[in-house]
Amino acid sequence: MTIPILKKILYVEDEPDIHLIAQIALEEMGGLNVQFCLTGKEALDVAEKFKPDLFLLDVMLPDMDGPATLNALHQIPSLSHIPAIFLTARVQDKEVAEYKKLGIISVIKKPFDPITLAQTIQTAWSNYYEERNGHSEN
Amino acid sequence: MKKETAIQKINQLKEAYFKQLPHKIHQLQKQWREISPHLTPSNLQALHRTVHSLAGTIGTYGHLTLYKGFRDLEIYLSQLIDYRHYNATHQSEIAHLIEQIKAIDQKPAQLEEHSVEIFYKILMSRLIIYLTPKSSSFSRQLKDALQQFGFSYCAIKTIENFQQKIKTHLPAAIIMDESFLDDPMLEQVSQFKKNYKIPLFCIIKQQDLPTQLRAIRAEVSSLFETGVEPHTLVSRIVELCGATSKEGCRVLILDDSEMLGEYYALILKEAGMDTRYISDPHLLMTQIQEFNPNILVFDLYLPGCTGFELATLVRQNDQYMSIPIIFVSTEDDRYKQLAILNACGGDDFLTKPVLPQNLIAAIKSRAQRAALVNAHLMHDPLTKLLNHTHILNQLQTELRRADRENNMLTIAMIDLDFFKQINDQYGHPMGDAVLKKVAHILTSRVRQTDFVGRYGGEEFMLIFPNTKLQEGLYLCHTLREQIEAHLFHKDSIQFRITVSIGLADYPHYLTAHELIAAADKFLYSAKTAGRNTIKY
Repeated sequence: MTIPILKKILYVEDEPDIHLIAQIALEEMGGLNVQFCLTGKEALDVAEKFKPDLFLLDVMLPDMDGPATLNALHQIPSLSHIPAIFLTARVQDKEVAEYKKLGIISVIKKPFDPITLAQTIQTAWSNYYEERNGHSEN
Repeated sequence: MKKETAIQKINQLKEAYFKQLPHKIHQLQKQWREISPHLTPSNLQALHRTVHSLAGTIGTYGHLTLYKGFRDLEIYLSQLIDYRHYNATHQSEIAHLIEQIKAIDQKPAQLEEHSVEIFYKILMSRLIIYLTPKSSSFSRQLKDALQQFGFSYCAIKTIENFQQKIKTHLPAAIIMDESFLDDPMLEQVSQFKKNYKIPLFCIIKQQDLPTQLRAIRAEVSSLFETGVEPHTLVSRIVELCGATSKEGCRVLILDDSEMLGEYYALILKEAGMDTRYISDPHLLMTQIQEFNPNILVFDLYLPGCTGFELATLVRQNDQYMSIPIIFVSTEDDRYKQLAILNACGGDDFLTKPVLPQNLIAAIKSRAQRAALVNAHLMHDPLTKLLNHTHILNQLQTELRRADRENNMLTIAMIDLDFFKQINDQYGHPMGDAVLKKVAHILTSRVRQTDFVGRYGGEEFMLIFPNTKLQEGLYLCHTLREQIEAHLFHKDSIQFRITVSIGLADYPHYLTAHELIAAADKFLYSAKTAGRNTIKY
């Protein structure tokens, strides 16, 4: 089984200035197609139509936070299996373990480095699929 | 190429963002000024949200020092949100943190760090810079003496090189030769000393008023005359900059708020301290065994117990009887507990919310005090060597280590020859000077891992861990020769002294008792063989 190609990301982040820099980092440097949302609600509205390969979610969002948003997204049948990455300033082991239980494939520490963001995401993506393939071969 | 244009675009974005950042900071100040007369949890929360967003963006846009300034403010505010009333201290601390942010923003881009960060680094620095045009036996002795106290040393020939050095390594103190008082760039050193309040010492040939005044006007804190014993200079440095012994600072933090605990740990790590954080009191004793901290930071109220109760528990252990403990509490708790604190003795309170610089300063001063107390308790006042009890303790420790690691160990008992005659002939003050000098020769010629103690009136014990008998013998030959070669003089008197040495090694002898008895026996046979010799 080969690793599928990562093309589309749904990115939820409440700071528009961060969207600007992430757009260059992910679309221009990473060659990815990114749908930017400012809130969890917005994400729920557009996700089904956009059909992303990956969710990229800031943990600290006003109203619906990252984990709540992910839960709600996963309730949608066509999106229930889509992997997610969290962005957070706090990366204590305990929390990362909790996030992994929610089905997060990786946690990226904020503030992130825009220059390497796309690479970091790609690496997490391939690691995730390699592990999965490894398991299915056993 | 795609990547290059992308990076260019990112840089343009950054430039544009930082151009309008002063305006955003101005807005932040405005928001603060509006709410500061009447702080409430909800308007503080709004302020916190603003600061949080700014912090995140600034960090992502890559201004790391400014990010840290915002992060400090953000965490301070988040601590306050749970409070029901706010006082002038909170107001002034928030104002101070905002001022810090403004200061960072206004500094020119080249400066890597803002002043608080530099303060932290200086506070924890162990580097001593010696401005001297050439190296000498004095500078070598100085280096050895400094290293004994855990300082690192750097000799620098020109003020230009000095300026280069301080860009990456901040000193705890600066020593300078008289020749630099004439240097056209002296002002650079003086300004640096003044800005960061670092001790500046000067060594001058003659203590005449014009030279002294020049030195004082150059911001020199202490003057020494050429020929000063390196140890004297180092004692002064230790007094001013604190000794933390070969060990260094290990801080263990216990706080049930993970956010706060992690934050304190992060600040201390950034200031160069070895730090660990735990949230569960049950893990406390195991962590203490493993990590062997020399300072503890306890939140006063933990689930199921108080910081005081844990402190009492920790202090049951002989080894931790006098370990400094800093309690972190809210102001209300403090007034209630102040009486108990005085009874505990030797501890400290930090009030929440905690400012980074207060935490660091508290730890630093505690570490200094503890080290000085230890030094007092463990060292012989005349020679500054380990005293009888402690060199014996050290031997036990080293033997346990040698056993664990399957290593060899050698000890040497060194006794001054005809010392009684020296006291009788030249007087006790001369006798003391001789002892001090011998102590100094011993400590400056052994390795960092060796131990030197004053065992008796004129008897010294040396411990060479991880050392075979032959190696120890070689080291002792050097010591014996050096002591014999040294010419003592005072006024018109000149004389030399010699020592007799007895060696014994582990595992040839298995216990401390056997080792010492054997070394003593060999020492005695060295004496009967004519002195100024080594037996083993």
